[in-house]
Amino acid sequence: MSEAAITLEGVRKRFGPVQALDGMDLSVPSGSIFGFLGPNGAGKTTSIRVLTGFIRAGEGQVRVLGLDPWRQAVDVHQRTGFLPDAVAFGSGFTGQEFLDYTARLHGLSARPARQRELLERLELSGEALGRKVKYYSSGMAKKVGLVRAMQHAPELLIMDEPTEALDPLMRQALFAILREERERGATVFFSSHVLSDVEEVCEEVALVRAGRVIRTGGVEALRAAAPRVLTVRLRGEPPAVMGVPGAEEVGREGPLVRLRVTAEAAEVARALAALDIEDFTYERPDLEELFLTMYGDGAAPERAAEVAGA
Amino acid sequence: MLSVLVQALRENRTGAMAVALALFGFNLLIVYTFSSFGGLSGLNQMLELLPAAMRAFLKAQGGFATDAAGYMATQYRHPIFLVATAGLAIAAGAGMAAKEIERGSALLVLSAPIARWRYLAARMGATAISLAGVLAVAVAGTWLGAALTGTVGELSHVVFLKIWLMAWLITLSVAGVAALASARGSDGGQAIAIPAGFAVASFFLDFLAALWSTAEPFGLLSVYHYYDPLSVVQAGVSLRDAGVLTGVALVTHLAALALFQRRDIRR
Repeated sequence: MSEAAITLEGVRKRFGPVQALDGMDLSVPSGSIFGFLGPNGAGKTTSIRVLTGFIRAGEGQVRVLGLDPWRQAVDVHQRTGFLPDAVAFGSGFTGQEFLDYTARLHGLSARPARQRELLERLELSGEALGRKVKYYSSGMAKKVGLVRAMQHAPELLIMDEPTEALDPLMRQALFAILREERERGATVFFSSHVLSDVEEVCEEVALVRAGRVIRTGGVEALRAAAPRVLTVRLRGEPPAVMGVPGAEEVGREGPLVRLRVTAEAAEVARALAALDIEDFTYERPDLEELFLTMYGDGAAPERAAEVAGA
Repeated sequence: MLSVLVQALRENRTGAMAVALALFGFNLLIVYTFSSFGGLSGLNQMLELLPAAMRAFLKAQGGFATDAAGYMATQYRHPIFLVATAGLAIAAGAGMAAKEIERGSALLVLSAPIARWRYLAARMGATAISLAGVLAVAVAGTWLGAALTGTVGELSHVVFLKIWLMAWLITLSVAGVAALASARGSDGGQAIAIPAGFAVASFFLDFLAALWSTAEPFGLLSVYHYYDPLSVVQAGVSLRDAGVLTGVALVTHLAALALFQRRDIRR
């Protein structure tokens, strides 16, 4: 993980009245599987289009494998593999014809060894590949898109919602392939809103909101720095104020109270001792919880920025 | 680039073959109708009875000339011929970029290591080849009809080549406008509507200019002003006409390449 595979510095892009990217800063270490998280409209897809040279950044600097993806798009494309969020093909292709066509565009033989290996791993049979792509399910189309993105063994994989439409077994197969890609030295840029997938496969993540990165870091570090989730079951009616320091109540149902807690564990324990509790759990949040903390209930960007600076 | 060209030819194949066969049959049929009108004298008599607007529509204000070739040339100004060839050019043009962007398939292909302008140029090449092939088949229909009816002896084979060339140039001009709309847009419907509007407006401008003296100077603005198969048969290919159509085709295609290279691809 020496130099950055992707760098965005102060990147802005406006589409008419919409400020799609608003000072996006990002650095993706080489040889990592990097998660790119954010709600719809946060700027994920626009960022990816900038990285792949489909869109020119309005301001700021963009580097992909040390190259400018707008001016040096051909070189960038030679060394990267791209999977768009919605995989669509030109008319008239069978799956195999499409893969052979795109392999030739990369200067490869029609059926490189890597293609055959990926087809086997993703369980794409010859019979399925012989069918016209217009008859493919979205899962089939996604798998062909994945093979197309990886068949030339790129240095950098840019994937937009790669697990969407894949069944759980195929997701696991994909994760195994991505880990092998990383072992090979490739970098994987994994944009998704499926938090469990990001948590499972990514070492680092960037959280995006309103066209800028509001937080980056290792998945574990982010979870460690985030508020814990305390769920308390009381024997009687819960008091109006629980008295747990640094806690924010996020839910209450009968004797169950759910809190988001930033205080030290010892302080929490002391506060709980004063209550008539039947049971409790005290957990690190998963990425989904973290995501909700940062994006849920209309959290203001300023607040998010504070968290980012924490 | 060759892979893109071959693939685009495959995509154009079905539509091109259908139009080629239809025009082959149409042109063959038109030649066969020649004698049923009573030859040239019968046709010219009939033409004189037609309203001026109808004659202008066929660009046959001066009659069908003095031989069968003149009559055959008018089939290349016939609305069926013009609509079929312009329709094919427009469909192929829209498919070059805008339709691919609209359905999202451009993303997978354009993320390959090929410059956008080279990709589009390959698709333009495929369209030019497809149109050339379709027009060759259409001209072959005329030739076969002339041979079967015994009129081929009156016609020089070079005339067929000249008609083919001018028909190809006018179709390429329309294809160029379609390519420009396609390179600029992300909506397949719009990429069809714009060149279709251009072709129709251009045709009627030429039509009006032929009918109405006040509108005559504006006829120069129409690409169809420079496409007159009858005069090709009578006087050969006009360098001015061929030059203008070549210029329109070149400028529109080059502008499309420049535009496509520099635009954002958003969908």
